[in-house]
Amino acid sequence: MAQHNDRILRHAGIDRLFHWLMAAIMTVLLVTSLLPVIGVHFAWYTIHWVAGLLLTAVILLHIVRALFWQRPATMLTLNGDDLAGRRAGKYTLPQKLMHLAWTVAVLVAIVTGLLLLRKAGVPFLARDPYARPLAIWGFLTLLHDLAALLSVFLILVHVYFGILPEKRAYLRAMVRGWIARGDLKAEHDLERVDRGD
Amino acid sequence: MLKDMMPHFDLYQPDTLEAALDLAARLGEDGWLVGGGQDSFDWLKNRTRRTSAVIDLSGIAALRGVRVRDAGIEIGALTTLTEIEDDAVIRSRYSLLASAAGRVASPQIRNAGTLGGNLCQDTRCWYYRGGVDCYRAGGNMCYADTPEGQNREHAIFNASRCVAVTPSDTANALVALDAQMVIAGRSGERVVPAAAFFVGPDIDIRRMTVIEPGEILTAVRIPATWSGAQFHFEKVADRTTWDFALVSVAAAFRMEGEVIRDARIVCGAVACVPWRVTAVERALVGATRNAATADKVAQLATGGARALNFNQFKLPLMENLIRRAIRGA
Amino acid sequence: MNMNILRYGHDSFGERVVNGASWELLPVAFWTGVAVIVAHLVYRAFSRRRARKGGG
Repeated sequence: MAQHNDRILRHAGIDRLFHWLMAAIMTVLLVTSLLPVIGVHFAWYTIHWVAGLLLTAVILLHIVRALFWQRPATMLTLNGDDLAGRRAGKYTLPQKLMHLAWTVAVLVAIVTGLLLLRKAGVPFLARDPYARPLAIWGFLTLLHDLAALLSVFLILVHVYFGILPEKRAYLRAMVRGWIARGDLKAEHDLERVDRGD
Repeated sequence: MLKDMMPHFDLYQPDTLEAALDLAARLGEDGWLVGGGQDSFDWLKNRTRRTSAVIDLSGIAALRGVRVRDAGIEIGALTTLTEIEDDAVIRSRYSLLASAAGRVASPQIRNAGTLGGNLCQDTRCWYYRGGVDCYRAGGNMCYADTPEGQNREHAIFNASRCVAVTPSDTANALVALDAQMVIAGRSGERVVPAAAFFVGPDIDIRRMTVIEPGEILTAVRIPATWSGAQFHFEKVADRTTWDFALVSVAAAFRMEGEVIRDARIVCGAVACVPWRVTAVERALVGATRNAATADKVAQLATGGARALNFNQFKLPLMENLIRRAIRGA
Repeated sequence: MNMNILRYGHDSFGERVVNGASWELLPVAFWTGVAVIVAHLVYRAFSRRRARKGGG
């Protein structure tokens, strides 16, 4: 809810927790999957699927919260104002596009990862590699790999923009929760922000 | 397709370790190292694997022989299994290794097969050996760990997508003896404890050992730690000769009278690496080496085991072999 | 450039199947991210110089 003083609550505590938890789990997932590819060998598989299940749970909670406690349109709609280059509401167009890209990468990774558990084997699921033809497993693996590669790209770009001096207010907001109205003025329409748009 | 015929490759026969290392470094993964050839030629004649070059190490005399060293011994990696089985020093001080070497395959294979080859040999999972693209072969699937998979010979411990087992009999004995593997490369020599030499699928699903391309296992060192201890080696296989283990046990006991002061129990063919049964080892310290102790601790051996569809028999078999090892059969 | 996009294997009938993405794409993903960062830094530097010249 916008406040009529210098500070605006941008991210509630639960949302900040979700963000940093998702970031930590994604990092674990990428490290466990990609370090062996570049020759650093360790027992990665169990850590990877456990982290994958944790990410699934966290993402589901995030989706429920976003759908029922927040306005998904705030993040998800690329409406005419944004595309016409006019000042944004709560999120700018690049921020919305970054969220969209992460959504695609994470959802593809999660769905394909869950399906692949049946082939690779986990303690709680009867292993049946013959449940699907090998070509289908290969396709699912391909999508899973592409999601991982997209995530590598996105991490670099996302962290870069997060630490740029002119964008650091957003990073602070993701840590402390609030952002100064003055920091939003340049790119955001404060009336839209106050409306929750 | 014609099988059982050697495909074409370039054959290199260095007579010094330095020359072999130069070749191994230059050829990298294209250079297939051969000791006695008892594993390599299967792969090549079946055409399941191909190589453009073979580096035959058998001409390097420096890699043969058993030498007394410090208080222990050093065995050249090209020493044949028959030489190890018959060696007087090994038989008197480390008879566990002599017993294990003497149970490998058949006399003909032991006459040509080397210790290094026995330790570095690839797994015998028949799906993998048959040339299917499983995880271990760089593919996307395990054919053994499936509802219909013929996995009678496969692992009950430490499966991580792959359920193949270590086929080496001498590996279990050397882990029990706290041996060290000497690995040479162009950048120098490194020494790796036997227990760390073997790699499970959880660490690297494509390899059985820590040897990198361009490296050569040159020797095995056995310290005096277990010299003259009480030993027991037993291997159960479908055939008494010329067969890989279904389950094997290599055990070493340091005794003070009737009391066990320290123990090593290592089982083969139950995991992708020699499987040290530390729960049983800890329970044995301070216990009397007899049937009552054996009955009490043997059931600890299979904690954490996960049987596949066709190898449940390995659990009671493993416990029984450990029982027999503790009470001296 | 002779780069693999996909990883291939064979099924038990010997037919070629896709096993996943080629890991040669990993440096591509990494360096593309770096390229975007560098491009933005250059754009940012030019924008600031232009803003300073404009006296604004």
